[in-house]
Amino acid sequence: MKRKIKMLATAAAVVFMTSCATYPGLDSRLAEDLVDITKYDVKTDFTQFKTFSIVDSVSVIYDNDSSKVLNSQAQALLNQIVGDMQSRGYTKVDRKTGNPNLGINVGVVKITNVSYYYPGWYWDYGYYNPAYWGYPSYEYWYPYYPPEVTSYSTGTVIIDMVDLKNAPLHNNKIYVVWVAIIRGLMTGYHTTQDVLDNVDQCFAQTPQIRTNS
Amino acid sequence: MKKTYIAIVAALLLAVTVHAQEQAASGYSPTSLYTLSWSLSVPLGSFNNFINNVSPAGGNFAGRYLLKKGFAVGFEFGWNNYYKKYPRNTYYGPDGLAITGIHYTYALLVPWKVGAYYYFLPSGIADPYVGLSLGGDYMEEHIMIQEYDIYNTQWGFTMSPEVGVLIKFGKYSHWGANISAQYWFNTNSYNFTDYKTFSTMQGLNFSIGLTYMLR
Repeated sequence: MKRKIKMLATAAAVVFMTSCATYPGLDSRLAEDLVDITKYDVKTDFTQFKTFSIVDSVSVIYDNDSSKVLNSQAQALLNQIVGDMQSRGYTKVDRKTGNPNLGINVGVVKITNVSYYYPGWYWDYGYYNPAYWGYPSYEYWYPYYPPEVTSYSTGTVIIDMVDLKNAPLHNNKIYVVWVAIIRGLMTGYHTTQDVLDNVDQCFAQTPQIRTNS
Repeated sequence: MKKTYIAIVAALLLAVTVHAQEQAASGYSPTSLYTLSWSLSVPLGSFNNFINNVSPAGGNFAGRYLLKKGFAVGFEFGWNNYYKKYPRNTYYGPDGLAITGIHYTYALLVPWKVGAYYYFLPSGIADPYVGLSLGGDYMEEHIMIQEYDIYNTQWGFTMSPEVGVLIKFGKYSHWGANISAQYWFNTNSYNFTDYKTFSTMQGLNFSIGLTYMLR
């Protein structure tokens, strides 16, 4: 009789557990793989731009510290973005003398303090500011509701493509016409090549970025 | 004479058998019954394209009230979780958004229904029945990619024919088991912008439950 009750209890527990089994929790989802999030301004025609320039190092933002880094990994990341832009027909020009239509900022956020929720907060933390692009009195601006990223503690690459061509028309705002976010750098054993492949994916999922219509 | 004996014995035997059968069949006819069931759900039709996994995660609670001659009315509410992990692919959202990663597709279905039923042998040990229930389905559909949870909630009209059998644990026991199969469809639909789409949901639920009966 006792054995029967035990079996019944086990069966009930199994049924109960399968009834509750659903998707994995956030922690295990975050640990799974790199995720690429992109958003572009649907009102912007990217074929109007012909030239671009890119920052000469990567802004790395930690909890209470930030620095500009140009090691082999950072260089590889910048080169990958340049290659993707050129494959879409854009010409790389000098930031100061080439009058670029588009500017590309690249940052890596590695913080453990998850207290930042509003988009673009990292612009104030050692990121390249608008003065870098020759607009000291301007501010960056998303002309759309940007994707929210809350779990920065997993490590994040952020690529902001800014519209320099039309900045004077935008009321002291430099529009971020495309933002690409690669999430999960600190969650697994991701190689530099993995990150570069994800840069390609960010471009692949935004076919609107091209010089020819 | 011999023939008469045989006829009488046969008639007696028949009478005894008939009486015994009646005895077996006449436990008692419950006036109301309540069933808590575990329910397994098989998505069908376009809902199957959205999540093609059988859901073992579900249950329902039903109450039924017997009127006359085996006819009954009742209520039922329940839930079913449907879940599937998809390999890395790209979700294209509104306003220029795109997200690439491993996708967890998840749906929750919560039906609230009333129904009419017919029990063939209300006082039998095994009492087969048929029924039809109508109501509303509350539903959530989610695509989860890391911390991103793209979801939608909705209500739809639902209808489900059902066949089942109620088995009493003893002639006079208050307890029994209920086994049933329900086909259901509802008017819920969803379009994850070029990604996962379904229009009208259908499924087949198999339930097994414990029933408490009142005389």
